[in-house]
Amino acid sequence: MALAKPCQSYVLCGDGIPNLFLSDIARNLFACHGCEVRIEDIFKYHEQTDSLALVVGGNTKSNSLAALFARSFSGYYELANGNELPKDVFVNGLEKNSVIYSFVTKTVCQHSVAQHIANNISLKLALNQDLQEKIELVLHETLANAALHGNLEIGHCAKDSLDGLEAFDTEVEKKLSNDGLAKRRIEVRIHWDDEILKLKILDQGSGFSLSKDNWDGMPWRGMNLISSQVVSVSAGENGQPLTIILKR
Amino acid sequence: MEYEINTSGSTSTVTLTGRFTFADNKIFREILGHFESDVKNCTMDIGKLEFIDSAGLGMFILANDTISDHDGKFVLRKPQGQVKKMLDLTRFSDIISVEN
Repeated sequence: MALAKPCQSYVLCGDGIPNLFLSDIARNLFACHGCEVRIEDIFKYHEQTDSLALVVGGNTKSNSLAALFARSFSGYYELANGNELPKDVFVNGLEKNSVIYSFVTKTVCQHSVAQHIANNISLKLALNQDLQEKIELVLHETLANAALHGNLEIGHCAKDSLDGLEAFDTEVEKKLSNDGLAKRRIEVRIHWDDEILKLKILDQGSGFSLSKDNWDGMPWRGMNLISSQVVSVSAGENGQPLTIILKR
Repeated sequence: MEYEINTSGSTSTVTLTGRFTFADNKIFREILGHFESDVKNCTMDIGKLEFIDSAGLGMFILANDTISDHDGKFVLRKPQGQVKKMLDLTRFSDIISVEN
């Protein structure tokens, strides 16, 4: 696959990551595509608008949050536990009018990722508070599903009793202690135009069925909440990716 | 999420602050533990609650069921912003007493 090139210039940003490491990533990812690559500090990048940026963050809370709050960038990839950046999957999706985020499951479970993405995209596109709240809720619910039921492979056990709630929580902690499951990735791709925002969520679980036969009728349940906030919800084969469209 | 409990007679007022999601289930189970004694009624002041998700809404249902099982009354008070929108959207007041 060819690297999308709406711009000829890509900026690689990072906070707290040695430039030598970023240089290695740049050489590996971009050199073969003939793009100009500049190495910038994330905090110096805020005012630039003519380039696409790939923000590479560590897995500490401060790094993650700093990267998420950077306004003018197209992708954030969390480097956690020595993971390397995949050459084909992530960077090929970088294009104008889009943002990509990729997190390990543990980060999604332990940080308010949806809140930060919603803040970021709202600042970037000057969205109103109502739409920001919808984006946050939709992402929060879908990321929780992707993490708990997708990547951590936890079934939909009953949480309608105190014992059930405690058992579910114990199961989450147990699964997160499994490094193989905790390091599985969740990717959020957001594309926009003047009319809509399109959110795509992918996880590394075994998939699910979007059939309404699998939803219960309670209006406060996750999928019911999501569908009440958006124009459409659809899913590819085996539930991947989940695609959600919101009106701007 | 943070909470504060004030008890007077058989009624406790619980003030919730911050964000209420599945991550707060331990705190919420801790709060409900206070209602196994002589305290029967619970008013939750959620005016300072900034965000709630489906798990948080589900835990309010659980609280209502738990307190009703002890012949008590459960009330949500002063919802604001996103939390009020969620309660309105899901017609929560059909199930639980909500005082604006």
